[in-house]
Amino acid sequence: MLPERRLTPFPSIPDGERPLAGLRVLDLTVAVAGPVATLLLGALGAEVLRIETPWARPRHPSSALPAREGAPDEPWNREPRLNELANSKRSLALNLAVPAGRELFLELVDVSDVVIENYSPRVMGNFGLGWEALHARNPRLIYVRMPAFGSSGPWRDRISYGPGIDAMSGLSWLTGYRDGPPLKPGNFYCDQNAGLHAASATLAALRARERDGVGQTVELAMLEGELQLIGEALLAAQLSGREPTRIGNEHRCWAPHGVYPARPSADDPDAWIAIACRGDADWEALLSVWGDAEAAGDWRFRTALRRWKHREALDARLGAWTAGFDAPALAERLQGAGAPASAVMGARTLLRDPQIAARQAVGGLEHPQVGLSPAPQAAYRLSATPAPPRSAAPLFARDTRQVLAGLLGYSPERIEELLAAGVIAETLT
Amino acid sequence: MKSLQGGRGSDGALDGLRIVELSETPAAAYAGRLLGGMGAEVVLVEPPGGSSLRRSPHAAAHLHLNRRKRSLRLELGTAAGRRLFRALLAEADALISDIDRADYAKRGLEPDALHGTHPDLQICTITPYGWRGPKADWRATELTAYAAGGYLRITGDPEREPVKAWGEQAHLQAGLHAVLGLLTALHARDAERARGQHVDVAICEAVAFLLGGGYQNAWFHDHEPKRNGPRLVGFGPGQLYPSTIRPCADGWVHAHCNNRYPEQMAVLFDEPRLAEPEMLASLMGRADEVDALMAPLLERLPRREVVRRAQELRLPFTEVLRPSEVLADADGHHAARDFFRAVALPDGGTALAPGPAVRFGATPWVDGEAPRLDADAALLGAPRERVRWRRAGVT
Repeated sequence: MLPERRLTPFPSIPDGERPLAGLRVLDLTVAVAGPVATLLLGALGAEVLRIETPWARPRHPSSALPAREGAPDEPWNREPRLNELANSKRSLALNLAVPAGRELFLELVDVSDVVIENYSPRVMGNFGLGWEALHARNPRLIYVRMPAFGSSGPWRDRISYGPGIDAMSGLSWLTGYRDGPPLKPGNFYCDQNAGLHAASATLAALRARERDGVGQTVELAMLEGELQLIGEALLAAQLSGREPTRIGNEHRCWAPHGVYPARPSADDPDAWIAIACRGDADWEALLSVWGDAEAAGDWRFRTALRRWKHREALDARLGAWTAGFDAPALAERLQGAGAPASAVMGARTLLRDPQIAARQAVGGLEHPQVGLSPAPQAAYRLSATPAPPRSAAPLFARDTRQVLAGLLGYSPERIEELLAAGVIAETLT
Repeated sequence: MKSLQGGRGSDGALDGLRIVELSETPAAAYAGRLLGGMGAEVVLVEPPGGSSLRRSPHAAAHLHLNRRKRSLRLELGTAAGRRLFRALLAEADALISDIDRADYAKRGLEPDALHGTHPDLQICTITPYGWRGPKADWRATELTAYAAGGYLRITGDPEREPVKAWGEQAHLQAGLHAVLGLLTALHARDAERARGQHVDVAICEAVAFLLGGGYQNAWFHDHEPKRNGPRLVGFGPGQLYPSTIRPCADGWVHAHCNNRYPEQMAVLFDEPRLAEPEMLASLMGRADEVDALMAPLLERLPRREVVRRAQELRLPFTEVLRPSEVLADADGHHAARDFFRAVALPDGGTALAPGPAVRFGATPWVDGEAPRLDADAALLGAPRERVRWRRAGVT
């Protein structure tokens, strides 16, 4: 039995104490890659103004979560994936398709440090909001763009979502079972990767700005961010003259090294355990728990090289044993003996994991319409300036009025005019 | 000790930053590579036998991840080695390390203790489960970290064991988190919000971060999605489809509908059924049927032609490329962007390696060669001293 699932609210840390306090980011990003970048910067303390098109959200998403009691019926505020990617940000609805909207955007550029977008390369230029226009307006601005393939080259105008870029990087071709077809390396792997790169590169550009006094463009082509991840395969292909192949969960010289069946339970009907022995010490540790005298005495398993050569027989024997055990309990016993092993976790089991709970790798954020919601935090903990996610996703357009009045000093009358003209919005139109 | 200042300057965004790297895995090595590419000076401190990356097949991991670093050989198992190392840290902005957690105490590098003598140093540790917590002592490899972070579960056939992504993605993602955490700590230092911090990175958490929206499903529906072959995982029947990998005449394509104009699929495949309202309302629920409707055209056409026709209709199809095809760059895209960079090989030849991860408009990405072991021994002092240390087994 797994422990009860837990979701402890993240500690509330004043905005001004977060490490990036004082920075302002205009967030024009869509889909996944860009929102991941601004999600990270938002938790670190930058003020992220997420600029949304007044009509861009689906009104009745089929995946909307149920409303908490007493909440107004606004299903567009309850879409879990949008919400997951919008935490720690503010929301502003602004129509960039009209000149007044673009002028308002430029006024925001005047008082911001960073603009991030991940449109295809032509879009910002078509709006008249390309680098030259933004730079002329605010020479200290950092302009981060995240095109799929880059803003130059023959593939510039190709369109693709993240998984299609996984395919063009070679990573999909390399991922999969030895005897199977190529697979995606995860749902949105390329996007998540690009988001992290873009957030880091933004900080690097800000550092250069402190030194040089001016802003610059930062271009993170998603494909180029991902090609870093298979550099070893690309070099090995040239040096060996052979195409690298799919090897599934195998290791090129270690065995046993795989994912083995575990005893299914009501908690986890799809139970598996990963075990990896790097050499004789790990193998001895495994044997000390396994206690299989026949395996221990088998000449085929006596040295690391032999275990690797006979890994199919070894995997079959080991899997027959692991299948009788609860995966988390067996992993704990193996770890106690010093052998690297882990139950194959998932989002559901991670919410019940003591290490995840102790470090709050996943914590809770209070959303006004769906209640306490889970969010993962980035994998770093900063000892002096902690920066976990700070607030649940904003309701659509929640901050429109406040930003215009507070940041730009607009009068209530002016705001009403812009609302009436459809330049800005306070609710989905 | 020779000052690192005036060492290897660059025009890069991070010029002026000095990072000392202790890497036993690709995690810290990748972090160092990215920081170096953005202009920081990275000093790789290697054990007498050299970094383990040098022993990867064909040293490919070393040639890729250790580019533009300086190399110093230092035995941290000796008191003199540790003393020299601490002197090196006195001139650095940050230490980035992925050594075994149990080794920090042995080498006198526990973050709290090190901050006692180096209060302004950013200390980034990359460990499997993080520095603290009930599993802090647990061991992990790439495979078990992938399992522990939950991302392994979503890839593979539903009827088979889950299968992990190729390579050392868990370690590389941890390296990316380390770069962001470290640059943030340096920003906080420069803004005088903090002095030296411990940036504590957990490899499993870099993997767990990838699950993103999966936690919403798990919390609100207490539901764990099942892996789904090449299809997206965790979406209901109303989700748009395809987003999958399908065979065609000469390999595979990644097939994806346009989320704004899903009916364009009917045009590409000349199948009116793909634009019927009932179909469009539950594309994911009818994924098998969509695959069958795509098959006749895909079986007939090579990848390039499928992708050409699809892209003309603004359907984001792409080719599934092999590594050799990525390098061959048939369309000249990488060449036009000067992406791949030649690196010198130990035998005198050259090979292509990935170039810039990011392009800055004003401050260039800077690449260089992976160093010979101990190529920068001069950083440690005069030749006579170095001979003495060498004899004493310190270097």
